[in-house]
Amino acid sequence: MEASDFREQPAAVGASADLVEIDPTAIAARTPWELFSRRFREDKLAMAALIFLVVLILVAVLAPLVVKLFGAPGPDERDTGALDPFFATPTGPSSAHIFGVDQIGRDVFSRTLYGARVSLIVAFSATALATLAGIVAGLLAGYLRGWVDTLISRSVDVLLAIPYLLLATGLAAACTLGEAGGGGAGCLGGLIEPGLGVVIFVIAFTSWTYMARIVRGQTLSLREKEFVEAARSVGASNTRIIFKEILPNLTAPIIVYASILIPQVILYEAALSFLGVGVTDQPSWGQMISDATPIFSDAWWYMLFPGLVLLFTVLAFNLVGDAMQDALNPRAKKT
Amino acid sequence: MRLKWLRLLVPVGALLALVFVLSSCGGDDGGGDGAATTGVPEEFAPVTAAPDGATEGGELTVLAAGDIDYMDPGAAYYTFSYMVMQATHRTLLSWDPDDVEEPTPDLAEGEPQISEDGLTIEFTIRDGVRFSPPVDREVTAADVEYAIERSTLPGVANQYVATYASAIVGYDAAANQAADDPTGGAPDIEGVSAPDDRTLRIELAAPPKVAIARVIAQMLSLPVSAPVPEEYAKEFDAKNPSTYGQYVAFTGPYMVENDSETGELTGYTPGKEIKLVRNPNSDGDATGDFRPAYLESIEIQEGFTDTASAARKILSGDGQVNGDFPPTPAVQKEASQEAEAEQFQLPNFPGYRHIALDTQAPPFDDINVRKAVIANSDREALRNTRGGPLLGPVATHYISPGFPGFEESGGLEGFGLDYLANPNGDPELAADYMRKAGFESGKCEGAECEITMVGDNIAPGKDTAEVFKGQLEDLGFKVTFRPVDHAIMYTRFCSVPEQQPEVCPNVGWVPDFRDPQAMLDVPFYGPTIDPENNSNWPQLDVPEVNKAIEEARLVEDEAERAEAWAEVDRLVSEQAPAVPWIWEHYPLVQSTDVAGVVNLYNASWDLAYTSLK
Amino acid sequence: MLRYIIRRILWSVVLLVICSAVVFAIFYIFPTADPAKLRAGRAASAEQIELIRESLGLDDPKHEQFLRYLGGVFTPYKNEEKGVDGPFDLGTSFFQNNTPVSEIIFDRLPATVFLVSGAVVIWLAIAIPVGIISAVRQRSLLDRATMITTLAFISAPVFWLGLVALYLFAQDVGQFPIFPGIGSYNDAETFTGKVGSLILPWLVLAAATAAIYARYLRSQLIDVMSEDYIRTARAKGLSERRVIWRHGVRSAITPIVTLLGLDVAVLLAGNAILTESVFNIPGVGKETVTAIGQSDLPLIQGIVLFGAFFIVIFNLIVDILYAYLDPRVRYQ
Repeated sequence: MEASDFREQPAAVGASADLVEIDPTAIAARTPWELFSRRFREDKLAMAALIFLVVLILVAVLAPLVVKLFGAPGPDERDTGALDPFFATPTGPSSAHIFGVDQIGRDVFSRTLYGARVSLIVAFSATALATLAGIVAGLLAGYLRGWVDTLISRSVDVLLAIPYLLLATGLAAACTLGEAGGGGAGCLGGLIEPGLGVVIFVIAFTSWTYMARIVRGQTLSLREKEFVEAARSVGASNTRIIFKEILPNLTAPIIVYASILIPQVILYEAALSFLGVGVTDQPSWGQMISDATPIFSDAWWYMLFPGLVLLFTVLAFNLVGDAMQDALNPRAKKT
Repeated sequence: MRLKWLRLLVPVGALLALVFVLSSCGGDDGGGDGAATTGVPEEFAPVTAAPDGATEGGELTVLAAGDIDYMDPGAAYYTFSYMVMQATHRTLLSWDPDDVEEPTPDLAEGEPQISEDGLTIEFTIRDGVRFSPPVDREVTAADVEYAIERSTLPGVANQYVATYASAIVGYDAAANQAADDPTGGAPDIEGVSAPDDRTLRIELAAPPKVAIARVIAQMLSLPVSAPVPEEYAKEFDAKNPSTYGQYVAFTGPYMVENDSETGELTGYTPGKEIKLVRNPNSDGDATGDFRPAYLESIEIQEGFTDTASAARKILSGDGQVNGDFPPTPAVQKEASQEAEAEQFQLPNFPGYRHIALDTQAPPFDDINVRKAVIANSDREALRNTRGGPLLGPVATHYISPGFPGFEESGGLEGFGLDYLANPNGDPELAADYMRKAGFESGKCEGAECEITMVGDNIAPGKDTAEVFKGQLEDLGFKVTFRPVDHAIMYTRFCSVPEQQPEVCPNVGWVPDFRDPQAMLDVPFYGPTIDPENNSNWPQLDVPEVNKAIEEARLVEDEAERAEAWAEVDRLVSEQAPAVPWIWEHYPLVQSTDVAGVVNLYNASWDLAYTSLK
Repeated sequence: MLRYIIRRILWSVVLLVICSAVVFAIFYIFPTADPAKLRAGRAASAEQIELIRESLGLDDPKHEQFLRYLGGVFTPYKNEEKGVDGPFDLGTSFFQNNTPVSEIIFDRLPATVFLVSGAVVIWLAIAIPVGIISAVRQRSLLDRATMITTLAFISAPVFWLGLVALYLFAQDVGQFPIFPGIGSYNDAETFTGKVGSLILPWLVLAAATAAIYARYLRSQLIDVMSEDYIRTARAKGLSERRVIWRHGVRSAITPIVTLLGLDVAVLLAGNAILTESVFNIPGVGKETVTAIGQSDLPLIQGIVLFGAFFIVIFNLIVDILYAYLDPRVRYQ
């Protein structure tokens, strides 16, 4: 329920409106993969978005090849000839540089392609980390209840009360300070390295809370269900009940929430990069837009293209996420 | 002698360092204006005198990206701060915008009198100069004495006096006393005294050296010699840090707006604005103040981090000039092509920017690797990150154009060293040097080629760093670049040898005096390597260079001195400790209705000479 | 009711104490940086750093340092020299002449409040009609177009949207120079001038939230309209307009109040940082960027904690409001 500033709140919206209403047992009972995929494929727009994302992932993985295919220079190659001879200002789209060049003559097209790597790596790993942390915390709280539940729930309350974007920015900055040139920097005594590591950690650290709340709520209701009671009565261990009975029934809400989280994480990463505390050793979209800011009125191409690709990527993830939510939970179908 | 560093470049591309362009007091008629020697087109040459019949009155607005470093004249040290200090204080000596060859007596009646044995320096203070309200009394020599003495307090945080003053009798003892008892008030420096209200006497310890006495006299044109009323400042200075910066008393034609009862500066909101108004107690001409002070008031607005739009606003607006930031290259282009005459000016900025290579650790402890890096470096591409050719020539050595010793060092051509010959870089020569260093392939290979670079996190410094990173990678290095805030780059990395990365791409040096010693002594003299505030960023410590520096310091004759320091320049350049890449011109912009005057001393607008049309 | 309120207030206070602890821990324990060196800044000698370490009490045990910090948070500060006081003592900034942190925050707050309140008005003014029309015309072409457009706004990074808006409409550099551009907030001296300078930032900041609210309202309304009592109302022969407004919208809009409270709190707490950066509005978020650039730990810490304070208070208000509206909550 935060963050109107740079990302949407489907987390909150979902949590309070749709997700809570999912009856996981009901879905599990009548939603095999086929049903889901048939419903999903009905949504043409989501299918288009999915194709876009597959292409994007391929481009990110095969970036060097794609760049070569287009005959573009590498992301770090500097073409001084593409700068104004007297004032060294960058030049716009041309046949040699289809998206123009940045202020030191690097090709914006190939940097944009490479930028997909950072966005996707951070998106998937931070989401995975946050989801994992959320599942563990939520399961423990919901299943064990008592003081464990109190502790975890209250921690979530506390974290939710701290303005996370400021916290993340401050934390990322503090973690980059470090002592020595090279070693010693980072957080938790150097455990977390500056750069990609810090960004993923910081994003996950401030994003696991909603997942934990959802999982906790679901677990609380699941543990009272008959099939869990039954398993317990035949002497199944807690571990077994959690992994065999409860977790499988949580798949649907977890997938839905994770799919909502991904686009948010992408915007989150871009925001951190824009504020100068993100990934710095490779091109990223947020960082490109940040670099373009001082010259946006003169070199419009530099801010425009990375921004558009970022927009389309987030939009595609949102479309796919929505469609997945609808397909898993037809009762809350939106369109 | 403890030497402190200076720096160029602040967050947001603003220029940070205070330029010390002191001339030796003995007089020096040589040199010329920087524009002529470095090829600034005539149309962009700086205007250094007010027009005839300049208009009185009106308000000037100065747009700035960042803030001054200190309001306390005992601590102020940035170019931008100096712009404010020059308009609000009367220092013993100060700077006529047009005359950078030597400082002009200001609070002092005339030139400092240096005794023949070089053991005492005397200044005679002018009659009738008064402090701004609420102090309101006449300035005496004791106020300057106090100003110098309080500069030893840790709470005042002066960064340069100690560099020059240890030759003053009792200075080191006073500094130690202040360090031991930072809240016990300013210690007495035995060698600084005011025998009467009009005389300030400075005594130096033997053995006397006229050259050293001159340097100390020159230092007193810096803001530290602005008088401070002890009875008023005492209570502020009893704190650590001192709070005098919030209650400064002024003697210049302008003052920061203040509360006339308490003296608290109401016109200064750090990071937001500084409001300068006329100092009611300034009598101008009557007390020998040479500054005309045409403007009625000056409003310095800070926080214009979007420097492109701020510069455009100035060009198209009314009554505005730029403060601490250069316009972006695109705006420079516009200004030079479309703006009216004199709206865009390019004063020469003494000093150089260089990329320091850590000579104490692998791989750059090998001189051939360093030469290879320099040979490979496309310095024109580095220069392009700050603008084009208009922004200044590619440096080929260290002493900058227009400075004594520049011609003796071979001028723009330099010493003819092969690795500094091609401004676009010479990859083949670089490969040769790499082979000499034992890398058969001509590229750096192995674990020691994984290096760290710490540089700026914003343009243009960040761009420079990234371009250089690319150039290193072309030579086979694996570079980890850590972009940080400019100040952090210095205080936590590049100026702390223990934390020093292999490459510091965003350092620069502005000389302390208009003397070649100031160009080279601090940044390349081995014994000055300081564990906390090092300015010898390459950590160059070569006996041959050290010896040449020690000898050159004592040379008194102007011409011989220039030769001696040119020799030091050659020895340093031959050691290849850094990549010198620009002798810079600093771009200034003003609105069409402003008759701006540039003070060549710190290459920025002189507020006390500028007027509105 | 009173007992519920007291309980909530007590929990809020506890929450704030814990938040202070967490914020303190995060900024003093996580990073390896030495606060004494950070405060000393440039050109500090080893002795000066030692003095600072002493004066900040950095060698004291961590819990003592924390208690001292906490003590400050809950006691009013008085700057006798300047004759200013304020509700909290959050320490003093490393930079900016050692100005008290709370003084800096209170100085920057008005700009943020102005920015956020205007944006709230705009996003509600857009979201409510759009949401209702979409819901009423469910599955029409208009509805589909609206849903895609809103999703696009939700997906656009706000800082990029700001740049694009400036590139298109700013008076100084825009292709269609209509609205005041970057930094105009600082220049504007009159109230109307400030309002004008904030039009673009308001629109940009409101865009994503307006889209979220429109979508949310739409789905709420669709749910509500299928409820039994709506059918009853229709069956009674009430006009469709009356059914939608009197019965549908009224109950669909209630949960929005909760969202609104929290969104406003988070934005006031500094999440407008990106918009403030792009448009150079001297608010709390912009100050954070400066503070981070200078590693001004007390200031960053103070702003984060101050933000937490906002969020906790707004949560409290929303909860109490809800308890008042919906008596069931109290007995949970």
